[in-house]
Amino acid sequence: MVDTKMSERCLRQGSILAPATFDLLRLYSMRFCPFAQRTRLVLAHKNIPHEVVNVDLKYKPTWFLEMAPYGLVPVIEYKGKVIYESSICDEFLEESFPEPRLLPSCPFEKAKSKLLMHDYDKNLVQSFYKLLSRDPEKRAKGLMSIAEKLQQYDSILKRQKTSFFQGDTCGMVDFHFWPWFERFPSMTQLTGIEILTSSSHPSLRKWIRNMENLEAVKKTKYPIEWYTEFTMSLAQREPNYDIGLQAEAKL
Amino acid sequence: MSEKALATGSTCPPLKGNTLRLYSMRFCPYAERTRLVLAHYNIPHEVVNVNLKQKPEWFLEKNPLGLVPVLEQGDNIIYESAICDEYLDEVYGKQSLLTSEPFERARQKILGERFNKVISPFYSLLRQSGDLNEAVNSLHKALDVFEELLTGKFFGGNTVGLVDYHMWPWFERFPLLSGLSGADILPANRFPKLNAWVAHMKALPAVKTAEISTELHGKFIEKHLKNEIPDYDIGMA
Repeated sequence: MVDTKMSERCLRQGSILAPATFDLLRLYSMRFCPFAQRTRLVLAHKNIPHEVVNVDLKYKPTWFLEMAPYGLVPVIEYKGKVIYESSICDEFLEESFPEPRLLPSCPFEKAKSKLLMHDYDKNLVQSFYKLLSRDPEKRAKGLMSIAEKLQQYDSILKRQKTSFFQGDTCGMVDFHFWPWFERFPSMTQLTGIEILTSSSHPSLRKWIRNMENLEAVKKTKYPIEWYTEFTMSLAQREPNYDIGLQAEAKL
Repeated sequence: MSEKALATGSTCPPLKGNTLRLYSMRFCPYAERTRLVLAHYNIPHEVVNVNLKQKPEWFLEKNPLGLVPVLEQGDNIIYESAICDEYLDEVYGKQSLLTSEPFERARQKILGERFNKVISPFYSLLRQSGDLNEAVNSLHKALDVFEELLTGKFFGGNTVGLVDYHMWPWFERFPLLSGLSGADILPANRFPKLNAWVAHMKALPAVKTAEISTELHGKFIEKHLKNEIPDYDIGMA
């Protein structure tokens, strides 16, 4: 029987990579990377058959750098071709596996969704990491910026009266946003900062519950403690990408 | 409609009916991408130029980031050049610039993303910040990647693709950069394929419509480099 837990261990420099099967989509990932999680959410939601190769992002294998010059995950290998950059991967999956649809078919609505996702990356994502800064001024700025965005997102949901940002069913925008929301409790464990208090942003908190009920979210989420432990290992400059996996059997 | 750039205190010209409007700035390379796509498909549209140093208040309501290009039609507003251009390609071009084939779309988008590695050293060199030789070196190294990646007549293949138009505005400004830095930005011996590509691009009707002369680019950038307010209307009759 294949020990699936073993194959989740990340491959580092010097490791040998088994060649991909032409017709089986392969995702190069890292279990705690929020950008790769977007792609994993899309794969799970669309039920796309695939295999995952986790990569050591500190001691990157040479074969990884040759295939993806930026050396970042997610990377998709499929039918002999390589695709990288998180949004490009996700749009590729949407186009190659159109059902269930994650982007609006109306071109203008699609463009609006892309703008929302672009804005999210430029603002909330950047500010999120400021919360870990040692500089209290940077942390305050980050929190203010996040608060502004959360207010905006809460207003959007309130105005739309929909369960998700995309509408009554979840879409690309929802999956694009989700990984950071999933990490909010971990950020609280690490910094004591409450990003979403229990009384604020009612529409957004309803959205979080809707997201948590999705199969794709359940399939891809990890315990908060693992995120916290991972972030701490990053801070100590020895990232542990395999947190939560069974210890390797000694031979 | 006057092309003169509208500044703070101005009134936004009313948008009539179903007219497609582009908010632009004549010398902005990002807005030029969208002007190229509009020209490529001969899409009827009007242009409102915006003073980017003294932005009209109404412009910030359209795009809170205060950047061009911005497309407006009826109640619809889109910004960010890549998003504008993919939108135009889909609505007016049946996706013939970016194609509808997912792998090919991804390939062009990745190339477009990688081109940011050329744009960064371009601006370092333009601003003449830091060591000149090092800046030229960085730009040349970034261009080496594209020299290698170019395997056809265009980056899009045998015919021009969206990624070609996305890259063009900076190549249009290379002669300006050569003049300012005294270095040959695109030497033919190091970049034979890119030089051939430049010639193919210059022959395209869309490029002929959208491009601005090196001389005019030079006059515009002079003030920018001195941190003075540029003359956005320079070269207009």
